[in-house]
Amino acid sequence: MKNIITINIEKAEKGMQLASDAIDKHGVCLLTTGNVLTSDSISRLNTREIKNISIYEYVAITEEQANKMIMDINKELDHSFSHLGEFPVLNDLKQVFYDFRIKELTKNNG
Amino acid sequence: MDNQQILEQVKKIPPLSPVVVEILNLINSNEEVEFIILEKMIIQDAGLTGKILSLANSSFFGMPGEIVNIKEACLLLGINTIRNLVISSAVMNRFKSDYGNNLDFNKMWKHGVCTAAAAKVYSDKLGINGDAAFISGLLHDIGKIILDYYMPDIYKQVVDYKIKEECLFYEAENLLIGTDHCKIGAMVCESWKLPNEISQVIRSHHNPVDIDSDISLTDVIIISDITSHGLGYSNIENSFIPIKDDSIFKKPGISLLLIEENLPLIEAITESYINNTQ
Repeated sequence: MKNIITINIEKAEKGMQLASDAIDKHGVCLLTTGNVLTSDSISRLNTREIKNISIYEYVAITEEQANKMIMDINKELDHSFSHLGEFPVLNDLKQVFYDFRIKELTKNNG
Repeated sequence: MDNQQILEQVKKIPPLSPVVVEILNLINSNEEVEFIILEKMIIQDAGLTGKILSLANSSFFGMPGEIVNIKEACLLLGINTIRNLVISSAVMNRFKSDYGNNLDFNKMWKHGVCTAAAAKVYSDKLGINGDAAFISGLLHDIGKIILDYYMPDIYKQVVDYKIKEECLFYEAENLLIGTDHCKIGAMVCESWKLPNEISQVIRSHHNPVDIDSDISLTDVIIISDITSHGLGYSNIENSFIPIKDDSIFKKPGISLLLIEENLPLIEAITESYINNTQ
C-alpha cells in the first residue's frame, strides 16, 4: 500500500520517492513529484534550505488485507452504480474503473 | 427558510478579495493585458503570489523550476492559466482553513481536482477549450460548499435526506430547498465575476444531456464528474455516479475507450496536484 509521509530533510535517504514537488522559499521547484532521491539530489535540497519533503512510503500488506481492499472497491463501485437501470455501457464502465483500481492496487504492492 | 430567502442569503456572500476581483476584471476585460500591470496587481497579495509561483512551478504545469517571478509565469503559462491559478488559489484560501460542517472539504476538494484533471485531459482529446475545462471541473460543485458553509442547518437536512433516500444531491436539494447546488454555484460564480462560460457549465452540469447537439464543455464536465467518482474521489461516503442513464455516451467522441485509455494520466495529474496544494 502507498502512503504519503512528510519527513525532515535530515532523514532523507537514497531511493526514497518524492510524493510532492520540492519547492524552495522562492517558489522554485528543485525536484518534481515521482523523482527518486539520489545523494546528489539530497545535497541539492540541503543547499537550497529545504526543511521537509513528502515521500511515498510503501507498506507491505497481507493477502487478507489485499482481499479486503479489493472487496471494498467492488462494494463501493456496486453501490455507486446501483441507482441505474440496465445500461450495458454503464456496466462496462463500472468494470473499467474496477480493473484500473485493482491494477493500481496490485502495482503498489509489487 | 424558503427558496427566496436562500437566494437572498447567497447574494450576501462576500466577494473574493479586492485584489483577486481587480485581477479577474483586468483579465476578463478583453483588452490587451500588460503583464507588468498584472504582475503589480498580483504581488500586492503575498499569499496569492506564493501560491501562484508554487503551482506554476509544480510538475502539473510541466515547467518545474523555470518560473521565478509572476511576470515570467504570465509569459510562460499564458493569461488563461494565470486566471485559473488566481481563481483556484482564491477559492482554496476562502474555504480551506476553517471549512467543514456536513461535508468534508478535503474530500470535496479532491473530487474537484480529479474532475478538473479529467476535464483537462478529455477536453484536450476532444478539441474543447481546456483552460475553462480545468477550472469548471474544479468548481463544478462549489454550490454544495457554499450551501454547507453558509447554511449548515439547512444543508444537514439535505445530506440526511440524500443518505436516507439514496438519491442524488441535486434531487434532495430541489425537493427540500427548491433550488440546487448547480444554480447556487452559478450565481456565486457570477457574483465573483468569473467568466460566463464557467458559471454556465456549473449551472447545467446535472441537466439532461442533449444528444442531438455537438459535444460541449458541459458534456466534458459530466463525464469528468463520473470519472472522479469511479476513481474513488467521491465527495461523500456511499455516493452514486451523478447520472440517471447512459445518454452521455451517445455524444460524439465520448466512449469507454476514451475513459479507459486516459485513467492513468488522470490519476497521475490528480495525485500530483493534490500533493502540491496540500
